[in-house]
Amino acid sequence: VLALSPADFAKLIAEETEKWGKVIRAANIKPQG
Amino acid sequence: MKLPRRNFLHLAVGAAALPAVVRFAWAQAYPTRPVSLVAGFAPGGGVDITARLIGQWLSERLGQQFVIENRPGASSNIATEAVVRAPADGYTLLMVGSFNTINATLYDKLNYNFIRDIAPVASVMRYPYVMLVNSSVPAKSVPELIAYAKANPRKLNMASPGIGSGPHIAGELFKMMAGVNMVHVPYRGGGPALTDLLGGQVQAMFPGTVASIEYIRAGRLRALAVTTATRSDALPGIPNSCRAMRRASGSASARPRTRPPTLLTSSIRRSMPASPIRKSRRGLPISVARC
Repeated sequence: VLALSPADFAKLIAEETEKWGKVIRAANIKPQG
Repeated sequence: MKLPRRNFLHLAVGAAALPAVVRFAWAQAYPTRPVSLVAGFAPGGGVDITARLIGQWLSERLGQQFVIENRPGASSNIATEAVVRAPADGYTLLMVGSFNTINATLYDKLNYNFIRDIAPVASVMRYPYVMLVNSSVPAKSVPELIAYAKANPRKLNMASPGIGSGPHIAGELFKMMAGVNMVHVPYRGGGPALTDLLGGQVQAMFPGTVASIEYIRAGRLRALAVTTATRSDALPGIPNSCRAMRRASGSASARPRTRPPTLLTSSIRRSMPASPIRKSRRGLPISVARC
């Protein structure tokens, strides 16, 4: 169990957003399918 | 577009540790009344089941009801915005997962700033995704599914809890890497999607194991692979051969970043070894987060 600090949480979200962003752009996924 | 395998593996490793988040505000005496725990998907899916497990445990631990509120739609954007707009008094919490970071790219305009408006409490758990097919699909393995899908383009319908959900992205990764064409069918949660997978209205899905394991164990759905690096303790007979989709989903809890550590945070950290989530580790395909 981990209680993330605000800084760690922001870092995690930023990293995950960047990685998922690459996948979404590569797959050309759109909000409406 | 087809990404290099190496790039996929790199992306997959990075995606494995995302926790879900609960947002709440600090109060000296907390909680003194029932707390809403918002899940952004319909009942019956992994997020919903996780919320109900942790909600029941928190209710017993803290002596107040934690009421699960399902607000499905837009891959949890509706739920997230509702929690952001709620009073920051600690009585409206949100289950958060990888879909929240997916949404940051998927949607051009969101009515909130996730990092600014949501803050963590604690990680709760993580669990793998699993590649499932309806029993009407003749494939008994991942290679057989690929061959069947290639021989029958756009004949297989691939369900997901919604556009931008983890199972959706897992499925899209599989489609790209395998070079197959399956039709994505989004639902408003994992529960309704699994119902239609059972009924045969859709033929494939990549759900989290939390919501699907009983159907697998009962033989009602066929599991072809788990997407993690190793086999799942809960599904030891299912291979992890789908390396390209190696991912995991997680759950956690959170607090506003300007607030001091809270009773909820410390309670979760101190008591997790005795929580029903850890007790059910062998029963449900989850593990306590160590990220």
